[in-house]
Parts: sequence; structure tokens; C-alpha cells
Amino acid sequence: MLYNINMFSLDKIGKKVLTPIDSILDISALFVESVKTIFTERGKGNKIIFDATMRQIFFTGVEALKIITIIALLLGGAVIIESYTQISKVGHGSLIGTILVVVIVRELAPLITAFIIIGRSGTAIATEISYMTLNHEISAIEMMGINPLRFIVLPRLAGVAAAIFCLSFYFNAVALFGGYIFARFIVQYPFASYLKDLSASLGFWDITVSGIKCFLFGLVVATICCYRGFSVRFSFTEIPQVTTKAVVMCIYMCFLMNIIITALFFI
Amino acid sequence: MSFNIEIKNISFDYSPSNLIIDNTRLKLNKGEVVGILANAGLGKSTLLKLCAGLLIPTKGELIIDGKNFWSLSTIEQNDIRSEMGFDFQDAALITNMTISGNLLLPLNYHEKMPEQKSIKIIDDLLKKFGLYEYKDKPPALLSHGLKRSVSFIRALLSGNKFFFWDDPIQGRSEHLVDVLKQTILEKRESGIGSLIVTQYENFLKHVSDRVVILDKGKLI
Repeated sequence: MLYNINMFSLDKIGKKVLTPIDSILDISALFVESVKTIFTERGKGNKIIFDATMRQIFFTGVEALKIITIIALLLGGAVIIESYTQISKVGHGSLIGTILVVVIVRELAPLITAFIIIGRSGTAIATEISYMTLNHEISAIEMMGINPLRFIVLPRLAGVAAAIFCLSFYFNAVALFGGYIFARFIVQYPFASYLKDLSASLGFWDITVSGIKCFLFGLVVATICCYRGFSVRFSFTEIPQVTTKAVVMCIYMCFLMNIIITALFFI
Repeated sequence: MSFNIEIKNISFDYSPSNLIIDNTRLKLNKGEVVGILANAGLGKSTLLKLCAGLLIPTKGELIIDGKNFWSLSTIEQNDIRSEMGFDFQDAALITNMTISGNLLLPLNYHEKMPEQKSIKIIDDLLKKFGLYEYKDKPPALLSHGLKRSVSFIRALLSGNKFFFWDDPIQGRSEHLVDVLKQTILEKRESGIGSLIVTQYENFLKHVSDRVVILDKGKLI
């Protein structure tokens, strides 16, 4: 009996460990195979793929500007107010610029932008592809001799990555400058001092790494959400489940990648 | 002209306890029209999809023109599929495209002809089937019968070498069923074969060269 229980537990533990590893391998394969179609199926349906990519950029980038602006303003304002009031107490005003760069540009801007994209575009991608799979639209696409990895996945990968890359710069600009205007109503922090502190701390690599992080987050989010969308099997009730799984996995992966990139560039 | 399709000892299941197709063989000769007769829920559509290379069998081989389909590259598989017309039971139109977008997709993706020419062909076909007014509408606004008409046109546009018809009578008007019969026979005359699955024996009697029965996962 004890032997059976132990075997059962081992089996469960084994499955718990192997399932995520399998998923990560499958997601990596989906990414590689989709990118490969750029070269292996060059010239096929270029105009259609380009149009789909532009639509994805519009949905992920342009249509997200409103929410990005509001969140960047509020976040930027809050960090500026907090850092100004706390640092001023210990008399190290020049550190404010460093804190803003480290907290907003290096860490929060890429992560918050990614979370917004996961919530808007990631869920939309997972849901849309799930629906297409169950509705046999993917089979119909395959039956027309069209590779779904090129027609469905590639434009989403390219569109989300390009859009989030641009959004990272927009988020930083709005958080740092819009946030200042917002904070100016509450704290007395002269703009000249703010600009001096900020420019002393903000380097080329801070902005570049913020953009690189966002670009990679975009690729990961789009790939995971496409993968989860394709993973539905039989029923429409699976759609909310795969969407939730996609969101959770995207959040884990973004945090994981964030710390790896931070460690690679800033240690 | 037509494909020569053969399934060899194919088995398929959606879960280990649920064997749908059990060690089945079927040979479709060039230009031949074969009907598969079975009641609902016995795996007709699954078998059709296995023959079209849409589902990977758990066991067995799909041979198209002498080549093992599942050992070909994705590009080669897609090249073969692009020569086949498949009429889905539930139409399977792409929901985020208009009706004309759905029909233009196979032509424009493979750039079979200049875009203006393909638009003209689609417009003519939509007029012929009385669907021109729905040209710019999404599939969601069409009834099931109209969606199946669009699916029929899409199959015609894609298929040059073989046709798969999944329960072609269901949801179709009498007029469209007549057009369908005519089309299958015309295609056969020009050497293009078809595989039809349905539960309506009479329809198969009119159009098929031979009929096989699917029962308990096996063809009789």
C-alpha cells in the first residue's frame, strides 16, 4: 500500500516537472518553426502577411496608447513623488535621477508595458486562435496549402514585438516627463534640477536595454499565447482555461527574462 | 491530372480508450469518385481528414501519388494540399475575413493569378450563386446554408487535383445539391476524383463510382 502511494506521488511529481518542460520545448519549437518560414517560404503570401502584421501593430501598439499613457503618467508621478520626498529627507537629491532610471526605465517600464500587452493582446491572440482551432478555421487554412505558422503565428510575433518595442520608449518618455508634470502638482521639484538629475543618470544602455527587454517580452508573449491558442482540443469551455494558462505563463516568463537580462547588462 | 490517394492500415484515436479508425485501408484511383457511407458519429469526417492529410494517424500511412505524405516536408505537404478542395461540414470560414476575403485567400496567398483577375473570378462566382450582396460581410452574418455555399465555392477555387466533400448535402438547398452533383460529375469527366462522406445513400448512388461502408472504425 505504502509502495503504491509512493509510486503514485512520484508519478504526480514527475508529471508536474515534465509538463512545464514539455510546454517550454513545444513553445520554443513553435517560435523557431514560425521564424524559419521567413526563409523557407519566402515570397508566399507576402502582402497578406504584411497586412496582418500591420493590423497586429495597430491593435497592440496604437490602440494601447491610451492605457499606456494613463498608467505611465500615474506610475511616473508616483515614483517621482516617492523618491523626491524620501531622498530629500536624507539630503541626497542627486540620487533621485538614479532611482528613476533604475526603477522606471530599467525595470518597471518593460514589465508594466508587457503586462498591459499580455492583458490586451495576449488574451486576444489566445482566444482568437482557440476559436479558430475549434471552428476548424485552422484546418481550412491548412487545406488551402497555407502554413498556419506563417499565416497566423508570424504576423502576431512580428506585430507584437515591434509594437511593444516602440511602446517601451513611449512609456519611458511619458513616465519620466509626463510623470514629472503630474508630480509637480504635489512636490516642489524644479524642472531644471529634475532634468539635471535625470540626464546625469540616464545612459544609452538604460534606454536600449529597456527596448530590448520589451522586444523579447513581445516575442515570448506572442509565442506563448499562440501556442496556448493552438492547444485547445474539443470544447469551447477550454478557451478561458487556455487563456488563463497563457497569461500566467507569460507573467512567469517575463519576470524570469527580466531578471536574466538585468543580470546580464547591469551587474 | 488527379491525385492517386491511398491509406494503408490507418488507425486513429482522440484518446487511447476511444479508437475511431481501426487499421483501415482505402485506395482512391485517379479520377475516381468514392463514397463513404456511415451513420452520424462513426468517424466519417475523421476518416476524410485522415485521407486529406489534415490529421496525423496514430498508425499507418497516407500515400499520395506514391509518396508517404507524413514523411514529406511542410512545404511539400502544403503544395499537395493547395491542389485539393475540401468542403467542410461546418463551412469553416475564417471569421475575421469578409466573404470575398475568404475566397480570395487561396488565390492571393499562392499568387495563382493577378489580384484584379482573382477579384473578377470571385465576383462572378458570387453572382452565379446569388451571394454577391454578402461579398463584404463577415461570415457571422450569413446563415449556415449560405456559409456552406461559400465553402463550396472555396473548395472549387482550391481544388485542381482532388476534392473532399464532408457531408455535402447537410444544410444545402436542393438547387445547390444539384449543382454539387453536377460539379462532382463534371470534375470526374475531366479526370479529377472525389471522396465523399455522408449518411445519405441516394446521393452517393448518383455520383459515386463505388461506395464503401464505415462501421466500427473499419471500411466494409
